[in-house]
Amino acid sequence: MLPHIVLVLWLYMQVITINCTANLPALKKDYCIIGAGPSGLQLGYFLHKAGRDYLIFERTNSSGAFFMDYPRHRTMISINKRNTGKTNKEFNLRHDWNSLLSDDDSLQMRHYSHDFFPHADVFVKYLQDYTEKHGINVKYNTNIVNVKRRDKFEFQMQDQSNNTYDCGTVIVGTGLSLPNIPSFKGVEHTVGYEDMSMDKADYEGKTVLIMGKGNSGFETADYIMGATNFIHILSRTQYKLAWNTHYVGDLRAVNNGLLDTYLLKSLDGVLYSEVEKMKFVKIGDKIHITQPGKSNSTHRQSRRPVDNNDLREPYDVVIRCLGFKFDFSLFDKSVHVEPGRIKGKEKYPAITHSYEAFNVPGLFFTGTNTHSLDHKKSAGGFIHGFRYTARVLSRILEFRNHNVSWPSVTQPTTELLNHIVKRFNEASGTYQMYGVLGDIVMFSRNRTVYTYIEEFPVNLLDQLRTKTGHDTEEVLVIIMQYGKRRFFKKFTGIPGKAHLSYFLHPVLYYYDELPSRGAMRNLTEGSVLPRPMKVHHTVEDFLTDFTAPNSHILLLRRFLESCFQTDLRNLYDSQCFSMAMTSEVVSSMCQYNDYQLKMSLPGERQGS
Amino acid sequence: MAALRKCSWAVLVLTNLAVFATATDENLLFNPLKSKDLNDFVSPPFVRVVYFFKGELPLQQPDRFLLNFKQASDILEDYGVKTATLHCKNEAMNEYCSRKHSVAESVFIFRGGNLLLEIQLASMFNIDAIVSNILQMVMLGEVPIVSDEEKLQQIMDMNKGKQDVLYSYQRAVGTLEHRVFMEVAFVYSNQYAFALSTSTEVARLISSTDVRHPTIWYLQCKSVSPMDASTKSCPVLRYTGPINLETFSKYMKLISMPNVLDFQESMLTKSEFDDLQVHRAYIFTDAASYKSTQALTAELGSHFIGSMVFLIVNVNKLPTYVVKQLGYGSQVTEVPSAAFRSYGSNNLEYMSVKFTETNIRNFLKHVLDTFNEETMDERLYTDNHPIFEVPPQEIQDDPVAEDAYLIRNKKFNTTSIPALTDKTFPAMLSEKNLFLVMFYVQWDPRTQVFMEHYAEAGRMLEHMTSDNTSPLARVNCADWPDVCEKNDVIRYPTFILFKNHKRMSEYQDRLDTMTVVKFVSLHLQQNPVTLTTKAEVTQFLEGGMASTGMYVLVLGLFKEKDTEELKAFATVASDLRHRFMFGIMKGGSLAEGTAQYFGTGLSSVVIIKEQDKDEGFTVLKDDLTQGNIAKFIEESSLPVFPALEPENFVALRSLKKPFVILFFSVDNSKVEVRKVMTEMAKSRQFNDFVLCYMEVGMNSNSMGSFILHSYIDEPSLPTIVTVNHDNGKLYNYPMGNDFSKQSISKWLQGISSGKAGLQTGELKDGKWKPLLPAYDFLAMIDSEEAEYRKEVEESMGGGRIPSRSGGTAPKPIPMPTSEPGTPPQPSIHTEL
Repeated sequence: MLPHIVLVLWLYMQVITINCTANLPALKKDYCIIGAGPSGLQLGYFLHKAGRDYLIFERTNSSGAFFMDYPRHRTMISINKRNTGKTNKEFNLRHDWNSLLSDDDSLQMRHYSHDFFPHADVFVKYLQDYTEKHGINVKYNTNIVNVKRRDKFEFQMQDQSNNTYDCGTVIVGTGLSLPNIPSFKGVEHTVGYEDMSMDKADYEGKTVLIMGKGNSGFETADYIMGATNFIHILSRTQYKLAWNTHYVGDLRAVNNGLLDTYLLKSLDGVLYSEVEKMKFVKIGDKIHITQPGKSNSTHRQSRRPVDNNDLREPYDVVIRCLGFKFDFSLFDKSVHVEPGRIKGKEKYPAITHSYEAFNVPGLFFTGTNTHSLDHKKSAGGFIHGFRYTARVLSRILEFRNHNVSWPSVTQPTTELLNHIVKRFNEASGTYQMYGVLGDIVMFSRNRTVYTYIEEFPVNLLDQLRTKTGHDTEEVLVIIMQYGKRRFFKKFTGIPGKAHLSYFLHPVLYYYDELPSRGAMRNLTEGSVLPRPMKVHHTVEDFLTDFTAPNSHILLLRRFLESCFQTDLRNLYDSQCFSMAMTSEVVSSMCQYNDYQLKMSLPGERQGS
Repeated sequence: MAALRKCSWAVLVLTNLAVFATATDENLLFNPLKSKDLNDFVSPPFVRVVYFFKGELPLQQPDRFLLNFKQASDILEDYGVKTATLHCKNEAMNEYCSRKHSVAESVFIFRGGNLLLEIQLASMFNIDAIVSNILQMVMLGEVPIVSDEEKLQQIMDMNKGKQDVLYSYQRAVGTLEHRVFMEVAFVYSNQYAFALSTSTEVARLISSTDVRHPTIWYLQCKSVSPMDASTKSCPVLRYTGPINLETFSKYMKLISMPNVLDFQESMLTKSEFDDLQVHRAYIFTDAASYKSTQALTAELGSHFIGSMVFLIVNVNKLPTYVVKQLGYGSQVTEVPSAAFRSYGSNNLEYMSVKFTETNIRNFLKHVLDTFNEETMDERLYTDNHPIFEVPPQEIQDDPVAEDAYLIRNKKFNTTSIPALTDKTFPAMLSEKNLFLVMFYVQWDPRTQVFMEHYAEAGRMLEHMTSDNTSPLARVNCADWPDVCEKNDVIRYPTFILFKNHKRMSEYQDRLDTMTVVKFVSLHLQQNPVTLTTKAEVTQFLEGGMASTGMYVLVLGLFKEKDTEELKAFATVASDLRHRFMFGIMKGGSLAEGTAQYFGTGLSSVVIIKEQDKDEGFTVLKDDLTQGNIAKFIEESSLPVFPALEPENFVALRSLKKPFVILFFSVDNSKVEVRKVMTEMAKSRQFNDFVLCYMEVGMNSNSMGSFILHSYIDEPSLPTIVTVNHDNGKLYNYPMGNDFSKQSISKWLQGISSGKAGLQTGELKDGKWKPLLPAYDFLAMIDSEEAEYRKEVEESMGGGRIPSRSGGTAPKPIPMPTSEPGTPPQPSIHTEL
């Protein structure tokens, strides 16, 4: 009986304390992650594994809540390729765009859905399982506001109940949460992607205008197409097709049904105009569009009145699908996070390539809100890209805050060829984040050993030491790149013309000394690194199998040989033997006491 | 050193990996011949090949040469060449056997009871080499090796008006291509003359372009009438197919048959061409132009001989349905005209331009090239492809990779080395008490070459395990990177031995069958083993469950009270148990008796080396501490006076002492010095040095000879050279006539003490630069950029594009506005 009373008493006291939180000292954490979406969870996973003091704050009562609402039509467009014919788990991640990085094989999206494009609810379930199975610390129903500087080293923030939290490092993983609504006249007559009706009956026999040529616009069109009279899609500039640009943020083929109906003359259509110059007027049930300076004017050349304006017919429904932007209201004035300055990047916070806010040391970003770094270039705005940049951030933080150098492998240089070929063939981070993350090979002074680190943001190459804790001068950077297109527009596969490869293929940059900060800042458009001493392209492969003995491996060996000015051929023991007996120095593959020589291959007794 | 490199480069091209046989009967000789039957065997007027074997039977290890020789013999039998091996043991009276060592270094070729010649084993390194060398010897008259242009000219002149000549440039004698040429020459030597050279100089006589790869030319000397012999040269046709037996013999068959036929006649008899899978050219003609077309076709026929047959279709003479089928009336509306059908195809390709000789030639050349291009993939790796010249950068010069490529399709039984997965690896770890796993990546050439031998080791070890299953397995890290990562594997191949469900040790030794077998079998047995009965001692000394001589045995003989020594010995034993078999005997009369047998008393460590012919065992009596025992084992387990070979180089070199190498020839009367040096080694008074020997042999290509010549320009045998690898210094023994112990000792003491004037040379520097430069993509990109910029400037009317510092793309030229709906031009992303 007694313990029972004590328990009740204790519970009572708890209730009191909860009521008095405002006066309690702040909860203190080394790491505060805001948002339990895929990137927050991914970063949480790595902090958890490193045994760090962290907490994820989530506004709703579930991980991945964004995906409870979005995409509105509930089908993800990230591929769930369940089979590749290979068992290599790292390789298979190249073709799994949904799973987060995990050492638990059961946490692969292929176990959750058989659909190539899974239902968004499945992804929410996945993220909940991910959180639970890894025991990631998430504080739900906690809406963080007012992130501010507490002192030089710490941040302080509050939740909706005025609880305060002191944080050594804040990482913002809130995604892009605000719908982008430009100001134009008559905006009140339009509905947004975020609140449009999902009942197809509401579009029955309606004429619809969709603003925005992105995936959400086309996705919406596909969804209601069967009910409408016809749909026009309006945008400022021409849509770009993802398969053509290699940028997954551009229009995906899975969504481009309207292009089909448009170009097959089924009334639907795509037209171009600037939204800001338009005026939407409601007359009766119909929404009319006028374009000041256009509808009343004349064709300049002919001076005839325009009577065939594309937008002359009114619409029943106008839907805005103009994307999302970062919610800067999260921050107090003391934390001055600026929007991106470059056109098209205003929707993102301005950050460095270490994912740190400009001018706000200690405030980091993760996930889709870091996409300003590789917008229109790589996959950093998407799950299959930012799962890797979240890992990169965890490594950056480990070194920055705990002096833990990046994980690396150090080996005799004779092992480098196999090491690189293995990465060519399986590495998923450099494959998904092509042109952004690269493997780095560093060398000891006499080049007898090398140190290999994986998935480093190549834009930080000049800061290699300060970001990773590894020191080097001579460096080899291995990245994946698509080819330049003006030469060939199809797959070539000619080893001697590998630099003209059309598809994603490995490229090696060799620097005898690290590029300077100046060189990194003055990169010319279209290049990811400054001019190297030497460069090697391994020719694209139709099967993405870069193990062809001559086309891939032999030419790579010649490149490594030319960088190090040494013979890297495998030799039989008799060849090594005669070399060792007649010269003071033997070739690297025959180095005395080296692994390779110990494990010598018997053969070829021909001494000469 | 350039010579060495050049040669090793050649070797890689020629090498085929020897096949290690598995069955035990292969450890015996094949076609065995007794001495008394030798005369009968060699007396027929045919070629007979005999190898005199001097080793022990059954073979302890598969002998590469014997295995190759056996397989080559099967092939040679088709050419009427019979082979035999004669085991010299117990045949001391045989004149060849009594020729001592050199006999085993050569193969002897007889005909009609006479010894034609000996071929050194060194040039018989694989099956191709054996077959081609022996056939070359058999047909030295029919297929002369011409050394200069004049000789080749003579051969052509001689054959003018008589017969055609097939001449080949070969990179070397003994290659696969050489074998193909010889095998074909054997069949056709009665119809054609043959010749070959290994010098590109000679080939220049008939080839306007430089020859880099083995090539065959068909010299149509028969067509030159003897009248014109002095003025006209033989028309030259280059054989453009790959040099393999199938294709080249098909070619020979084709050129031996008429290749211009009347279609009607060819219909009557089932053409031989059907079997030959040959391209056909159809020449349509009518009765009126038949004669002239026939003459033209004959010309074409000799030009395209070997690549296609010509069928003259007389549309007036053939039934309508036949000519219709060939497209006459539809595709062919006027005659004469031509069409082409590649073999395997049912469709004809028709010439669409005017019927002239040049047009037909171009048409046929074009369709032939197209066909070759389409089938090029399969032939990409044949050196001598007519169209596709492989740049030297893309030609493999890594001998191991080259071998790996050659054996890539070879099938062998891998059941003894199961490939494990993320599920089966943990299962095996919990089930098996002992197993060795090779973690590898499948593209690694060393692994590819070793795999078959690893499987072989697995099969050999099956019999040594309690459950008769192989204790070997493998994990492909390209399939299961997670499994490899969990085992901390970062280099390939890595071999990890798992014992009692835990990682025990790594195997880091030679990639060869017997070394693996030895390593694993030492772990399979109880080791160290305590010996208490006479039977146990006997069994131990006979090498436990493995055959005698496989291991070096280390026997610790202790008194009961020697606890310290015992402990030290046990520690060393557990450290080195993967290399040696350890036995322990403690006190009692059996231990004492055993000690006595080895001429020592209790508290001794005895190393027993079955394979050391100079010193069967050696004993350590004093200071039985852990360090001393370990040092003793490291230094004394090797043969006391070893032959210096690739196999033991690493072990000897790891002693970090200068090598004192006795070079001698077996025929040398002063071989007495070998005994002197053996005694010196056994005395252990020269422990600052590794005393060893190399046989120089008769063969100037032998390893010993090669190494010796790098030290001394004109050596006389025997001689002694001291090589200090640590400082590169060489010391040639100065007193060529005095090989007494005193003189050698004095010389060595001089070297030890750094006495001036003894050094005679030094090892070469040895800078191992890359053989070839890499493709310079940076330069290619730069020049393309420059060209591009120029084009753009021109197209923009001279406006300059700002030059760029990086190897980067200039801005794309503005594209014309796309039609609505057409995919827009992509923006350029991340590119160099």
